Amino acid sequence: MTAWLLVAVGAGIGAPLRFAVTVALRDRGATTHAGTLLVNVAGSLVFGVLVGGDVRGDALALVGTGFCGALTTMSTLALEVWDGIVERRMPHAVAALALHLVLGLGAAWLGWVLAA
Amino acid sequence: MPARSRDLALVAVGGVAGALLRCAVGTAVPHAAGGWPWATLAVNVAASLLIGVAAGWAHWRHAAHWVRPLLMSGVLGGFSTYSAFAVDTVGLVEAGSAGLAAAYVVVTLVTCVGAVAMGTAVAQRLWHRP
Repeated sequence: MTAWLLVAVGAGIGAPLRFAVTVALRDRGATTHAGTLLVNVAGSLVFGVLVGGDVRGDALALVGTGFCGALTTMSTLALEVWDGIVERRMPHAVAALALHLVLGLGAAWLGWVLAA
Repeated sequence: MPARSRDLALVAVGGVAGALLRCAVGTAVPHAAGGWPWATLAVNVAASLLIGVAAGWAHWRHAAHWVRPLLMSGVLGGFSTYSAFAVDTVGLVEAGSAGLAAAYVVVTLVTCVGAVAMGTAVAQRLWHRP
């Protein structure tokens, strides 16, 4: 029961933070892709630290499943890639995927090895 | 309430609902260490399908203002996750299953983008009046 509450609290911070970061970057002239990439890389780094450091229980529920899970998003990334394909902006679609693979997976790996 | 504060509140409410749903799927389909992350793949594909439908709805039906923050950024953003995808991939590599990790990355990205395509196609059939 406590774990569900902690997931809810973490998500209640993570999801609006993702929205706020995306809006703040867009206000400064960046594309929404930049916001999605930033939150996904940051969330992957933090989640990598947790799992690499063998953090479990309440802390994993709050910060991992709740905060990092809601801070990051796969559905928006997939939508951005599909929009890029449909609107014939292939370089944008390929760049979004490539940057996510290199920086996102790289951040998760970095967090993991730093904490392990 | 200013529009931006209202949007933030909608994203928070939707995000909590989506994250709890994701947690429920993860509890129903436990992830064995070093095993294929079925639960994360399932929520990401489902969220991608639904965000395609929602994007099409917002586009062709000029849906109400709350659709994007509450459903797309909130519920579906909180339901789907990139961080678990990334960390599970690293976990597969660390467990010595680099091939499985590569397959997981390709399958996730291809099925999620394909699911968005299917979702928008469904929305187009339902709501696009040429």
